[in-house]
Amino acid sequence: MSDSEMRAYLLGQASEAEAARLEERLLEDEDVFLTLRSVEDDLFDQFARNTLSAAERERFVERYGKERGRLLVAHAFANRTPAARVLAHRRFERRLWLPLAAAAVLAAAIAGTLMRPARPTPPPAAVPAAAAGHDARQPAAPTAAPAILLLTLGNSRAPAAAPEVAIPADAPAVELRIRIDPADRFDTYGVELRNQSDTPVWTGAVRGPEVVDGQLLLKGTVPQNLLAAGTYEVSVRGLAPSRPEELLGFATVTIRR
Amino acid sequence: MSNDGVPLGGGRTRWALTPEAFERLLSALDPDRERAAAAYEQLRYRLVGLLRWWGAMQAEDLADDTLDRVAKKLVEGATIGSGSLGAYVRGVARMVYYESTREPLTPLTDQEPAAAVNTGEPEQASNCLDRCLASLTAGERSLLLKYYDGGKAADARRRLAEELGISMTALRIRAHRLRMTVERCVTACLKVQ
Repeated sequence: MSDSEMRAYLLGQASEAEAARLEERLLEDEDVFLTLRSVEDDLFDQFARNTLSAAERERFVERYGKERGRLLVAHAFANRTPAARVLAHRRFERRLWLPLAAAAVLAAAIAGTLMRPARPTPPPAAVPAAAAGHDARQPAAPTAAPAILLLTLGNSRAPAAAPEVAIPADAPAVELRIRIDPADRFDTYGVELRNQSDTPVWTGAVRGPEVVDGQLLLKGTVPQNLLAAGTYEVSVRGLAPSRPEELLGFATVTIRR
Repeated sequence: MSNDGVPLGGGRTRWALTPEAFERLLSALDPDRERAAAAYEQLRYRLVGLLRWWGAMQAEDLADDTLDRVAKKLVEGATIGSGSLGAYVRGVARMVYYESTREPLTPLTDQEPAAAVNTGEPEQASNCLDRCLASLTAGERSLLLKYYDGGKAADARRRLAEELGISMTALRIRAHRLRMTVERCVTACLKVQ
């Protein structure tokens, strides 16, 4: 049976014969039953997004108007989708920082210019007496510093907008510096990095943010061998013993090697 | 065969299912007893869903009553033709349902009131949804969000199915099962708040 036939059945618009046929099939076949339930889920979504016709809406309310839990979930899902909202959540309304698009531009502006602290000048090496005759001022090999990646969290997953950064081959690690909203203060923050297959490649528990140049930043260091070229999603959760865990946002970045 | 009935109220009694009748029903579902037991549970689940779509108030009781009657008929000698189980069970379910609508109305003690949305509820639901999504595995969360983030766009879902290497039907069913898990979680979360 087609989606439209199932939809008609759910809204009480199918003929007696069509209804009987569908009902016999769904009792025989689990897949048919679950597909019908899936079509029903879509009806809830369409109701929440206000895309049902007036007549369909009336029938929907008559049939499903008492299913408060499902209605609230449908509305919550609708409010998550890119078409309907980005900054609907109250804690994001309080943010004074850059909107997501501007943040993406900022992050893109530093793409390829991954910040590197200046390499420290090594002290002159002490040359053993036995090496007399060689240049006593030959310096020791400098230690490579981690690359620094500055990120701004958003609440929409948009891999298409992910900024690209190139990690120098000799960087032993990448230090993530994640801007945090001053309103999101927790004892500890859980930071997770996932690859394109949605596999976690690194997780860290980071104690309270540091203040750097007036910004609150979380810092975490990811060994470079964990970061193959590709797109990654960084997510941050606020953790506190007396409060439920809270998802604070995401950032997406594409790594080039 | 026992004809003892279990009173259901309103002058109706339900025939008590005997072990023999239950075994007959199971063997009609599948010759392998273990598979038959699973098939029984799945059939019962679908029957409850169907009765709810008909508007039955106590769908679980009516589903049990339906299956007990099917079992009774099998013991009495009825045969269900191959491929006719759905039609047979549906027929019995219709009868059980119509009988239930003729019963005196019972107080709606365990019925949800009409959906009156309180002022803070949508935001609470969003918070609960975030929390419940976080309790899924990464793969499950990703599937669910991609399935619904694209709206109902057929193309977006078809691409998702291709990406996962599964059929559209399998994708729909997976998304539905995950959504049910999330709905139960959100409902429980809202009750706590």
